[in-house]
Amino acid sequence: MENESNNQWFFKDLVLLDKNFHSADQFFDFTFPILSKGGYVKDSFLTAIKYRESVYPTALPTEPYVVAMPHTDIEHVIKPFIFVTRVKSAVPWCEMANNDNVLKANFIFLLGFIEKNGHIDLLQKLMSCFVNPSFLASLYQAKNTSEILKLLKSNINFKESS
Amino acid sequence: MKKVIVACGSGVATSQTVASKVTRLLKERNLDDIKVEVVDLKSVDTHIKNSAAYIAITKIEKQYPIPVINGIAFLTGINMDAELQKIIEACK
Repeated sequence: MENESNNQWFFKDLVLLDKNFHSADQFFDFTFPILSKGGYVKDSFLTAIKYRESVYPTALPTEPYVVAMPHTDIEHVIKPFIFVTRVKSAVPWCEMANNDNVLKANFIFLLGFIEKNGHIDLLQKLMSCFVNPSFLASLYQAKNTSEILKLLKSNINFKESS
Repeated sequence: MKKVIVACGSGVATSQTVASKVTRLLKERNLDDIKVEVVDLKSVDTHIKNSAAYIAITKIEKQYPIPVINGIAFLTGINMDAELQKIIEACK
């Protein structure tokens, strides 16, 4: 069932560093054209992700930096991807399952999944990165896109299967 | 066999991750008679009747007759043991 070892999840053109956003919606408006041009998502993605995030927000109270992991239904995604963003100043982002609490997100991992049950291994590895303070600190200090990608790829080893 | 349900907004990511984590934790404790099932958020009410606990990953707007477990704990690890204990208690 898990066939992620051959898949590529991270892409050089899907890493965004040190930009400013004042809201989740503004973030989606900015990233959607990049995803759409790259053939990753359908036109319906923008409305779908905004709606999904407004009803089921995704910021996690991780430390020392807050991570948001927006995602939406698989029918809006064409090619699987993880769009990694590190913002310059933290973006107000509502907390998962605790919608009224507004956290300040430092990282946004926009997830594009195409299988309903096929990403558990990947997600668990991502989650273990997010709850690892030293990993988040390294990600925060990384100087450029290639350092970010190197960190992610070395911490998420797809060869291991569960 | 006791059933515990998990539901999230799209069923695509978080609920699957939480279900797999809880299943593994229960297995480590040899609690093989508890089944963790991912259900659609819309069908939670139907499943409540034959479930021992509900692991929620979305905001809970109403009261349920069974214990509601904080599913985020299994994503972040914060308070995870306490929430796991609640599941085990609910299944006794």
